[in-house]
Parts: sequence; C-alpha cells; structure tokens
Amino acid sequence: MINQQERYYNILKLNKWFAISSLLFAFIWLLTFANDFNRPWKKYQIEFRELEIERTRVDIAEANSNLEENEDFSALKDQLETAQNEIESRQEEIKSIQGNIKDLEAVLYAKNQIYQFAKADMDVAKYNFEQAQHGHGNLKTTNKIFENLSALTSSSKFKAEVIVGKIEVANNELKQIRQSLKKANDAITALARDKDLLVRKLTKIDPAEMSFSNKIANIVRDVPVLDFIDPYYDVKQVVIKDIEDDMIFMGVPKVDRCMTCHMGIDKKGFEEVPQPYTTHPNLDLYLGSNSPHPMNEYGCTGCHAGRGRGTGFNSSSHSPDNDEMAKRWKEDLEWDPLHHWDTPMLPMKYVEASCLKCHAGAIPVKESPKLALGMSIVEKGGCFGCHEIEGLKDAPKPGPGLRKIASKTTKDFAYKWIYEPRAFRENSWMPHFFKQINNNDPESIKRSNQEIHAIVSYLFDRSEKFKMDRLPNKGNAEDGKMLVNSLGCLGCHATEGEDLDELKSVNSMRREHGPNLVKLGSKTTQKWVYNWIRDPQSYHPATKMPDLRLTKKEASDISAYLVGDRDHDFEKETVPKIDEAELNIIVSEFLGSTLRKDEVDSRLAGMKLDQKLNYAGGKLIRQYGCFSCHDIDGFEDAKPIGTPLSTEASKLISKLDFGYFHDELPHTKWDWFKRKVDNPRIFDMIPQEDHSYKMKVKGPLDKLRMPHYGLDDQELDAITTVIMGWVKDEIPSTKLPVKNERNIAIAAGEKLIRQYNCQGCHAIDGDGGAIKPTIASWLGDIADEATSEDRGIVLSFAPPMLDTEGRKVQPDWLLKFFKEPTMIRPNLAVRMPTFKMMTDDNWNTIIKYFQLKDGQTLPYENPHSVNKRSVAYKAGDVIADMGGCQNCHFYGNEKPRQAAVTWGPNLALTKERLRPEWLIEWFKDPQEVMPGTKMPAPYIPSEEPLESVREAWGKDVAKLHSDPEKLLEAIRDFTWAVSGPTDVSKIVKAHLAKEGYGFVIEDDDGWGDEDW
Amino acid sequence: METFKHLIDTLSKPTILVTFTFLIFFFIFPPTAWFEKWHRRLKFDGLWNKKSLWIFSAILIGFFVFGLSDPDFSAIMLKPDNVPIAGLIFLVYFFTWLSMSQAYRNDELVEAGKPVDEQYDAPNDKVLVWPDLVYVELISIILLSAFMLVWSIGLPAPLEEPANPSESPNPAKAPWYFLGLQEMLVYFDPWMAGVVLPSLIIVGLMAIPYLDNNPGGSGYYSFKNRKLSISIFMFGWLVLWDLLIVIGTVLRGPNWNFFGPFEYWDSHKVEALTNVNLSEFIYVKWMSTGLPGNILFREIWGIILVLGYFLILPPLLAKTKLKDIFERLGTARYSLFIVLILAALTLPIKMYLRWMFNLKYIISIPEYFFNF
Repeated sequence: MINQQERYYNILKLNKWFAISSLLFAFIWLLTFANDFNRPWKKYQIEFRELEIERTRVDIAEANSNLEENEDFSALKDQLETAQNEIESRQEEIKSIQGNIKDLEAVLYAKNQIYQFAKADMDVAKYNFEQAQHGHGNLKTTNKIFENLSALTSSSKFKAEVIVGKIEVANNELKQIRQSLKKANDAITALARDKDLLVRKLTKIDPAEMSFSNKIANIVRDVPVLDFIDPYYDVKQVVIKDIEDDMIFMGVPKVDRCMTCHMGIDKKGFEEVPQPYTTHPNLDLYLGSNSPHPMNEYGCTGCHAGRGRGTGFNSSSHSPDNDEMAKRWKEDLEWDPLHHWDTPMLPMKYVEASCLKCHAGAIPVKESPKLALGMSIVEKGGCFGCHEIEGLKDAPKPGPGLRKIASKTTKDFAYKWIYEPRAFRENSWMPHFFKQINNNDPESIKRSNQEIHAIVSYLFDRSEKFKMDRLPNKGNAEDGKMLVNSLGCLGCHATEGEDLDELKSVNSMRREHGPNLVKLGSKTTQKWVYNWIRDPQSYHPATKMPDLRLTKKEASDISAYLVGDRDHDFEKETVPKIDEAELNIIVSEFLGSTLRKDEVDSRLAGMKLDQKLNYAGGKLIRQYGCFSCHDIDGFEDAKPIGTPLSTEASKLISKLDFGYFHDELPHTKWDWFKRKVDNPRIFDMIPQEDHSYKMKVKGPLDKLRMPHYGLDDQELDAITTVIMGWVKDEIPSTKLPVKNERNIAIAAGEKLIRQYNCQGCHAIDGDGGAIKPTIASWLGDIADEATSEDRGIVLSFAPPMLDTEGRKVQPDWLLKFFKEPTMIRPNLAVRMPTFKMMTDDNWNTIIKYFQLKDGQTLPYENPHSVNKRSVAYKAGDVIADMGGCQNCHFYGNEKPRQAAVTWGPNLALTKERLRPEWLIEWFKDPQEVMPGTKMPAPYIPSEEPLESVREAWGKDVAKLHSDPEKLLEAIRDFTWAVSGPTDVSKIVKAHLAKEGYGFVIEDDDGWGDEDW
Repeated sequence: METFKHLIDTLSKPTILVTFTFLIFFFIFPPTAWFEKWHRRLKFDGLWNKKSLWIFSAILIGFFVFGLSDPDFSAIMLKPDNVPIAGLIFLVYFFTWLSMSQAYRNDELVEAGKPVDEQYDAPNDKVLVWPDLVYVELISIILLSAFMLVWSIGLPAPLEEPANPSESPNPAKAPWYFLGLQEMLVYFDPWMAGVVLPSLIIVGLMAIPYLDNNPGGSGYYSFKNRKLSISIFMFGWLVLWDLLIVIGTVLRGPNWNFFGPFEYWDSHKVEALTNVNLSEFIYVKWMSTGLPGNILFREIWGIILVLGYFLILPPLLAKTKLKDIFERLGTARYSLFIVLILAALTLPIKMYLRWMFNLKYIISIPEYFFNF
C-alpha cells in the first residue's frame, strides 16, 4: 500500500528548485532582450547625433550672423514692425469684421442645412416620379411634389450662396488690412529659409530643443521592446533594385546598410570628423544627389564591395590597407577578417578597381589614376599576351618582332639579354624568365644556360634577311643628339636611366612607349639603326614606331648618336658554352611527353646538335610563351599560355593556390595577386623559419613560369587594382555610362590614341604631353635656362594641345594632315610623324573622336566665303595691321617681322585648315582655348569712343565698332582671305639656318645666333 | 606538450583507435563467462564505481581544457556545429557509467537476495503523477529552455557564404547523427552503405524483442543476466555508431582524410588511395593474368566468399561455438540473429580489409551497379 502522503520527491525542495529555475529563466529571458537591444551600431548613431546637433547649432549660429549682416533682412524686419503697428492700430476694425464673419458663418450653416434637407427630399421625389412614369404610382401628384421640391432646393441653394459671397467680401477686407504684414513675413521667411530648415532639423534631433511631449516621445521610441515601432536609432539602408548581389542560384537586390554607422557619409560638414562619420571625400562624383553616382541609385558596396547587409564592423567585411592598419583595427575594433564572404570590402588602395566594372571602355584617368596606371602597365607589360583579357584580345604585341633578328644583333647579345634583361637596361619591360627564385640553383642554372642557347638558336636560324641601305656617312653624333632631343623621339622613348624615386603615372608611362634608348651600341649596329629609323615598317611591319621622315643626313646623325652609348662591361661578359649532354636531357624531356623512352632515344640519336637546339628552342618558346609579346616565325597561331584573367577577381579565393604561404600571406585575393606579380614563382617555394626558401618537388617543365617584371610597390598596387577590377558582375544598362554615339566614338578614339601614344606628345583635356619636360631641357641646351623655364616658349615649341581640335579644324584638312603632315607652326622642331600603319578608317575614328568630343555631330560643310570688298574684310585688314599679326604670322610666303622664336602658323593655311566659328572663340580668349599660348587676344577698339575709333581705325572699323563680335568676325574674314603659298618650309629652313631662332639670351643682349 | 599532442594524433589514427577499441571492448562489456573472468581479473569492473567516474570525468575535462589551448583542436571543437558532439562525448560516457553502475549494484543486491533499487510494488501499477512527475518535468522544461537561450545567444548560428555548386564545402559533412552512415560510405558501395545496411539496422532494432526473450533482469538495470545482449547492443551503439560519429566529426578533415585532433586541416594533404577489388587480387596479383571477361567467372571468388560467409558460416557456428544460442533460439530466430550479427560485422571486417590490403570490393560488378 502506498501511503497517501508518500512522495518520490520532497515537494518543498522541488518548490525551491522551481523558484530558482524560474528566476534563472526570467533573468536569461531579459538577457535575450538585452542582447537583442544592444546592437553594435547604436553607439555610433548616438555619437553621431551629438555631432549633428553640434554641427547644426554651429550652422544656425552662422546663418544667424549671416542674416544679421544682411541689410535686406534688417530692412524687412523694420517693414514687419511697421506693418504690425499698423495692424495694432486697426484692431477695432478687424474685430468687428471678424465678428461679422462669425455671425455670417452661423447663418450659412443654417441655410446650408435647409438646402441639404430640400435636396434629399427632392431626390426622393425624383425617384417617386420616375417610378410613376414606369407605372407605379400617381404621375400627377408625384410630378407636382417633385417640381415643388426642385424649386425649394434651388432657392435655398441660392440663399446659402449669397451668404458665402458676403463672407468672402469680409475675408478680403481682412486680407487687405493684413497684406503688408504678410508680404514682409513672406520675404523674411524666404530669406531665412535655410536657417529655418536648420532650426526645424534641430528640434527634431536635439532633445533640448524639443517640446515636453516630444521629449517624452524621444525617450519612449527607443525603449527596449517598444523600439520596433518607430525608433530614432535604426538600421538605415538603401535598396538598389537593379544592381543584384549574386547569390549563385538567384540575384537579390543590393541592400547597403553602411550608412547605419557611416552616418555623415553623404552630408557635407563632417569632412574633418573621424570615421565612421566622415563625409565622403568626393561628394560631387559619388553619393551626392546631383553626382553621377547618387547614393540611392548606386549604394556603397557596388564600388567598395563588402557585405552591404552587415551592420557590424566585422560582419560588413572591412578590409585594412596594410598590416599596421590591421593591427590597429584588431586592437581597437576587435577586427577579424570575415571568412565566409566571397567579396570582402576592397582596401581603400584598391578601390579604383571597381571603376573598371562600368568604365572599361574609357578609363577616366583623372578620377582613377591608379587604375589607369595599372592598365598602362598591363598594356606595356603585355599581360594580355599570355592571359586572355576581355577588351585587349586584339591589342598588338608589345615586344619587337623577331623575324629578322639576325640583322639587328648578335647571338651573344641575345643570349645575355634573355638571361637577364634588366642587367643591361634596368627599366626594361622585357621580364626575367631565368635566375628566378625557383631556378637559380646551380642545377637549374646549368639547364637555363642551355635553354637560352636553344631559344637563341631557334630565333637566329629562322631569321629572315633584312635588306639594309648603306650608311651615307659616319654621321655626326652631336647633331644626332640635338635631333633626338628636338624631333619628338622623346615622346615615346627615354634616353636617360629611369629615376627610381620618381612616382609613375599614366603620363610617365607614355615615355616608356618605346624602349629606353641607352646602350644601343652594345646591342646593334649603326647601320641597322639607320635603316630602322628611316623605315621602321620595313623591319617589322606591325611596329608601332612611326616614320619621322628623316633625311639621310638626319638618320645617320641620329644613328651615330644612339650607337655611341655602349656598355663595355656587358659586352665583355662571356656566354657559357653549349653543353650537349644537358641539351639532350632537355630535348628528351620534350620528346618524352609524347613518345616512349625507346622512341625518344632513337630520335635523339638521329638528331644533330643544330636540330636539337632548334627543336628545344621551339618547344621552349612555347613553354615560356615568348611569342605572346614577340612576333616569332612558327608561332602565328599559338594560343595564350596563361590563365584567362577577364574575370579573375570573381574567382573564388579557394581557387588561388596559396601553397605554403598560408600563414605568410593574408588570405585575400589582392594580397595573392600582388605577391604573384611581385614574385611570380614564389608559390613554388616553401618558406623557412630563417626567411630562406626551399623548393617544392617539381620537374623543370612543371615549375611556375610566369616571368618577373621587377615592378615597384606603386606599380604592383596599380596592377593589383586592375586585376581586382576584372570581375564578372552583371551591371544593368541603367547603371552603365550612356552608350550613345559620342561615348562610343570617344572610347574607340581613345583606344587608338593609347595604342599609338598620341598623348606622349599631345595633351588632350589636360592629360598627356609627356614630352614637354624634354622640350624644355632641349630649349635649355640651345638657348638658356630662362628660356627653358618660360612656359609660353616651351609650349610654343611643344606639340600642340588638342583640346578643341574637333571644333577647331576642318575634318578634310585633318585627314590630309594625318596622312601627310605639313608644317603649321614654322618654328616647331618637333615633327608630327607619319603613321603609315594607320588606315583611313583608323584616322576617321580619331577625327570622329575629336569631333564628337567637342559636340560636332553634323558632317562639316564649308560654307564660309569672304568678299574682299566687304566692310568686314576691310575692317579686319585694319585691325590685323594695327594688331601686328604679321609680326608673328606668315602671310603666304611673306615672312613675319619678328624673330623665329615667336613665329606662328601661316595665315594662308586658315581657309583650308580652321573652322570659322572656332576662330571667333579663339580670338575672344586664346588662353581659354589653349592655356599658355603665346597668341595674344587681338585688340579690338569696341570700348573706345566712336570718334576716336573713326579717327585712328578708319571708317570700316567704326561701322562695326559697337559689336565686338562683328569686329572679331572682321579679323576672321581677313585671315580667311589671306592667300599665298601654304608651304613655307624652305623659307623657314633657310631662315633658321641663317639667323637661328633668335632667343633672347639673358647674358647676351643681342638676338641669339644658334648655329642651326 | 607537442610530444603528447603527437602521441594523441598517432593514437587517433583509425587503425589504432578502432583496433584498440575492438581489443578492449569485450573485456569491458564481457559477453561470455570467459570474458567476464578476465573482466574482473583486469579490474575493468572498477570502471563503474564512483571513483572512476570522477577520475575519468577529470581526465576527459582535463583533456578538453588542455586541447582547447591548441588552435587546431579548438578550431574543430568550438565550431558551433561540433559543440553538440563534444557534449555527446560527455553525455554518452556519463549515461553509460550510470546505467552500468546501477546494473552492477542491482546484480549485487540480487545476489544478496535483496530487492533491487527499482523494485516497486505499487498496487494496480499506480504511479505518482501530480505533483511528482509533472513538477519535475516542468522544472526540467524551464531549465532546458534557459539553457537553450544561453546557447543560442552564446553560439550564434554558424552562417556561411551563399551556397555555391562550384564550391562545395570541404569536407562536406552530413548532419552529425548521420556521420556514422557517412563513414560507412568509405568502405561500402553507396547502395550498401546508404540503403541496405541502414535498413538492416532498423530491421535489427525491430527484431530485438523477438530475439531477446530472456525475462531475466527485465524492468531494472542489470548486467549478469543479459551479458550477451548488452554486450552486442553496446558494440553496435558505442563502437559502430557513436565512435563513427566522433570519428566523422573530429577526425575527418578536408577530402575526407583522417586528421588527428591536434593536426592542422591541410586541404592539400595527400593520401594514397589506390584500392583494388578482390578479383584483381586473385587474378592480377596472385595468378599474374588478366581479368577474365566473363563477369561471373571474374567475380566467382568474391561470390563464393560472401555466400560462404552468410550461408555456410551460420550452420557451422550453430554446430560449434554458438551451440547454446542455437539451441536456445531455435532455427528461425537463430538464422535471423546470426544474419544480423554477420551483417553488422561486415563493417569492421571491411574496415580492416581496406586498411590492410587496400581492398575495395569483395564482389565488384559495376556493370550492374552491384558492389559488395
């Protein structure tokens, strides 16, 4: 039997357990709410609110003091006071009108009610009458009732309307009385609108400025649990519907919550405030509502990447710029890289990568200098040769053609060069394949020696004949130097060693378009240089080197100068002997990839040394991808050997082999790319405690083979930026730059302009003209330092800037000029080269580029003609004469009056060359069109009194005197009509030979008398 | 320290770990009188007293505390997914200890002629529900809820990047309760490991009441009366299920390679994986000829072996070793019993064949999707 009181457990004890566990549960339950309430971003919003209150107060104070100082404002204030006083004095009147209105309104109410009742009754009567007509009811009585009620309705309506009219009159009276007050008030409100907005803002954010009830609400809205309704502190976000985050199986609209903490990002005035509140550094370009990338349409992570939905420092996947920043973040913000996110935020130093997503067609150089530099490096270094890259597939090979190499240099030079290019020319773009981290052990060097022999042997054995002309004479190296410095060679080539401290830019890269010209004597012969510069295409048809139309004398002088520079130490170095045993190993390895061992042996036994060298050479050229940059016989259709890079940055990081560098290298794509480009063979290595390396176990053909470019940190960052920009993100057309005719033409033109390095000489829209410093130093050589520092003179001797080229010149003339450049500025030593490789289509692309860039959409017609008997022409003649145009300009073959240093274009060219509208623009303000030009704005007497104009300038000018535009047109018409021969090159040559440029040399009072 | 970690890593190698478990298991849970003799002689019975609970708990806790100072160990153990497995290790040990110690105590009580602890002689099977049962349940619910809240706050959901078919997680692991099955996939054809063997497990569990009709020790914890049953069950539960889960969680890393608990999960680790079928062993290795073209001819050895295992071995055992069992169960129940046992034993057998001879399949007929 069980005792009724029997229990398994002591109930009292269980009660205690129950109490304890309930309390525990309650406590943890509260903890859950606290945990939910305590969001990491809240403290930032609270702090920013303080900042914003402070900022708004400062702004209000400023607005106030501005208003105080504003005279209009004080005048208005006075007006307001007068108006108020007036109203005060008419208080009695106002009161009686107001009383009247009140009475009338009561009457109106009553009348309206009568009308409403009558109308309702009428509607019933109408229904009854209609029913009667349908046969239900008495037609006669219903009709009568309906008509009576209709009359009542309209009469009561009329009575009400009369009252409405009376009220209106009374109100107008009131308005009249208050009019001046309202006017003053409105004016003050308009003036103080900005301030009022600020004040209103302050009452919204500053509890101290709030009404009592708002103060309470301000607290209650952010109380835990209640804060789901309408909290002040809230996750802020933008949703961008048409940019999608790739969730693999679907795209979801981008949601960026960055502004939850970065609250000042789109607000002016927080530029100096520390992160996360800082204003975006470029609101005009990004985020601003009037910028091309407003925040609501582009968000943040479209450019910066990262996890836009994250609301914590870590969960949004911030990435530090460098180790030091990472360390600071770790200490201050408990930063840890977010592991499970494929697109972490780009470090600030690589953020320009994102520009490439949409602007690959035409990279904005000014807005993304690093990206543009990186792109120049990609083009210059020929990355696209081995790696398929979208947009660069048809780019020309960056290295020289090697089909006729035997005529250019010796096997010894080729050997030494391939082994270590930068030992000969420290800033060469030819990368290093040998003596690298994974092949500089004695065993590998032994093999490398034979590999290079094989490659050289392949190239020289297949070399075609290059028919060279005899040198006319030995040439004068001094003259040659002057020519190199003045003709424009230096727009693409450098002759001095690179200054390694110099920061590289897109513009400095332009002077690396062609190879550095140092030490040519150790590389090739004068005869070869002579023939090459006379006609580059005869040596290498695909060359980008244009023809400078050199005379035999010029060419022999230049070649004499260039080969005068030699590196005797380099020449003395010996080349290791051919080692057939080692070569056999190499050959058998290649043979063994397709043949059995016995087949390899018999094949090898049947090969002569030459055959072995050639066989191995061909295989090695394929192995190392030499053909990617050089035109080599037998590799016309060879496929790129490297990984395609078009979407490299969208590759999953797990697809990048960190090898044994998992702990050495931060686990990010950009760090991997940078290290890879910096030291391409590094991932073959195993790092040791003592910072040395051991090699992974790899056969010679399995080793990494990407060559080493010896780039510095700045260049590495630039190229990493570009690689990070190669993504596969799908950008909706709404977000891309508009694809109109103009933008397409500009992109196509820019491509050619980059390809042929036009901006090495010409500045376009403030970018380019890399040659200018060399022009200045040449001027220093032929004149003096003061001349070389005179910007005007330097510009007058520099190739022209092409800013308004599309508006400036006639397309027909431009095409003619491109195909056969002629003299424009007579004193210019720099020559526009002839680009024989450019087709008419190419030139048209460039002409279209200039025209559409300048908004010239219509095909050009030349309707302008000048009547020499017209007033305008005659007036122009006078102004030109008074202005001394002929001091500097040729009129046909009439020489200018001043020395050659000041000479300007032959005015006889005007008619066929320039556009009439542009001339007006030009005359108005030459500095605006071409900053720095020596051309003064022609003086026109439009401000002078008519009488004195008539007296001094004659009647024709006086007729046009009142309209400056007409006067400028007069000059235009005059220049338009200047006739005579356009080609004055012979006169110029003779003049320069006899009198020189006539620089004003400071130490020497007279005109300069340079010897050429 | 490093030496100790290395030792643990070495001991965790599946061959050693599993062999060690097999070797001592039946001395801990002796199925026969002979084992029990050694069980007592080797003092394994001491495992179930309070002192060893404290000692082993302390060792386990100490091991974990020590282990968590190691980055590789803590990376595996503190992964929110794996925390329950760490808990499982403790819980399984505790409840095994609890049941076994009570069983031993009851056995002693029975021997001394006293009633067992669970002895309950209420009339009409009356059980006290209110407040005894309900109250305790309520308290448990509250405490468990509190515990779940703390857990969910302390270890947020282990969210990862969006799923990507071109980037499957490495290692790709089944939910923890299926890791035993996943481990079987290493040794068996998916058809066997994924369908046949799990079905047999279910059939086996359903068959227990029909096979084990021993009334002795029913209704309370006891060991003496049901040595064989408990021993077999514990083998299936602890070794073939829990141990495989722990191995799958802790010791299986990228590419499903084995890693010691203190070893870095290097996804580039290479293990030689050239396995051969029995037919290749016989024809290629021993007879140095090619494989016969005829499937039946090729696989005849494996077929004979399997048929022998399942058809010849049972009657043989019934005549010899398992004579008593056969007599006790009768032909039908004995057949079921022995087939289930033999099927369960194929797992350890195949594990060893794999480890020792790189044997892939005993019968391999990929032409008809049949591999065993």
